[in-house]
Amino acid sequence: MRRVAIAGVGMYPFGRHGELTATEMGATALRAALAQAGIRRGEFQATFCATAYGGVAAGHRVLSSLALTGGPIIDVEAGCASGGAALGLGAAAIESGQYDTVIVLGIEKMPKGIIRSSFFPSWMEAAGLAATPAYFALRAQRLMIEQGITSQDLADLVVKNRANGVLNPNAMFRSAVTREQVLGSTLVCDPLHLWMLCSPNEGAAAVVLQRADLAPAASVRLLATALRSHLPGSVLDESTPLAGLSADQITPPSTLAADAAYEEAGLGPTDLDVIECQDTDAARELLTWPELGLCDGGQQPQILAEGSFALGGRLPVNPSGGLLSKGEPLGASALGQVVELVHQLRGDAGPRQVESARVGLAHTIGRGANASVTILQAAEQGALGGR
Amino acid sequence: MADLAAMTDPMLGKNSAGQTVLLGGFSEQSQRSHFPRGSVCPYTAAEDVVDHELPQTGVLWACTVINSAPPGYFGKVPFGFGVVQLDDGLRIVTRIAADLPGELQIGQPMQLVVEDLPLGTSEEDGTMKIWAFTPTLDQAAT
Repeated sequence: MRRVAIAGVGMYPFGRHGELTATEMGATALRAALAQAGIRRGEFQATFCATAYGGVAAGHRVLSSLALTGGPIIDVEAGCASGGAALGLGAAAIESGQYDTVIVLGIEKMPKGIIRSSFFPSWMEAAGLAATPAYFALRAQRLMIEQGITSQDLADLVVKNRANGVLNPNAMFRSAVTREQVLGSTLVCDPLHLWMLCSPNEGAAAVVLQRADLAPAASVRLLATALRSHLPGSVLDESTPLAGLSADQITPPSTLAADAAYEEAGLGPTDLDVIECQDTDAARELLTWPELGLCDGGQQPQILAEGSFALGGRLPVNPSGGLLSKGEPLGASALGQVVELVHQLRGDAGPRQVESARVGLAHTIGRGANASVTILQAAEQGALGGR
Repeated sequence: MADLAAMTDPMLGKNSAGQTVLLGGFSEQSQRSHFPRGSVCPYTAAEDVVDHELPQTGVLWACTVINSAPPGYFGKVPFGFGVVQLDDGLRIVTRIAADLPGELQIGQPMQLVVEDLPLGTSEEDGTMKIWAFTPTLDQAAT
């Protein structure tokens, strides 16, 4: 268990913000987090800045704009899991005794449209083999075949997350949708319709990590943070290889990260009260549930029908509205989840508050492949229930 | 753009019968084939990789249709995109050459073909060769 607490959080809402730069968004989020933690210039020792498209020394630009430079500033890139990776580095630095207080920042301003990633070589783009949503579509199709998911289920997942987004003032999309509207939106790549895909966008999130004994008593505790990459062989995983094996027993990176985080935190899926997980597309979240051990593969339609993972259900997943409501600024998205969980575990999440939430899990999976899992616990100590 | 056009050359070859084949790698130690050929077996890191001709036939394992041109792509849209499971079990990401790729059935027999794709909007940009799979013609109908 990490002896690290989250002393303050801040966000610049995810969306499209015209000419505003990632540096400016990052500065706003960072100011808010520092104010909340009561930390000023000279009272933190290092900064880890997650970004995929931010360019050279992106973190330096944010700290320069607030006259906070002087200490080490390290940019971190691990695809969609960049924020989780930065959080892990910051926490490890505190645990090792190197630092007492560390800033973890995530900033991003994504290009519009289909994400053009330097991950794909130019010849794959020319060959038509670099269309990211098409890979999502193939994975969705296999999920439907292998776990009995229907296109109605995919639509219902969107309905669930968008309903939560209505309650989140920081969400990009704040209107509820119906199953019929989702299935009536433009078909991007069968079986995925436009509203089943999250929007790449822009935004920032900031977290102040502190040695738990120095942090305010009400601070949320960081129980575990794990980052994993893919094992070779799965043709449709986020590493997007050109070929893979027919064997299906390859453990996905999300499961590798979750198992490591559960072990570090000393708890399991049944101890969780609230989840924020990767919903790049509707199928991605449905695939993630069994990968994190939240249910068995094939149970998703029943869970959707019964509302078990909706707000007010037994285990709310993506109470923030998820990426389907917020959009996905790669470097900031994982820390955006952490910010949401901190609000949930402090009990100040407003109308989307998960009742008596004490343990939360944040998950991202994306390009690389990179998967991160973070587990947080509310401040009031005491034995965890259930185990 | 000549170098781009040459990028798929190491992946496409001819077999002894003069037919186009996909060139992968095979490791005796891991007993597994892979594509494209790497310097080590991508599944076990074994270093005994030799050139390996992949089967030209397989079955459709996943398939969708790409309706608008993704970045850096100058070919026709819509086009089919999917995964074919080759006869030796290897699953390969591929273009699907079919009039109505969205109506293909998962599990249906497929065979290798080669397509020429433009590398830009003008003829001077040249073309590249790329593998694709197409539904196997019904033997009885030919």
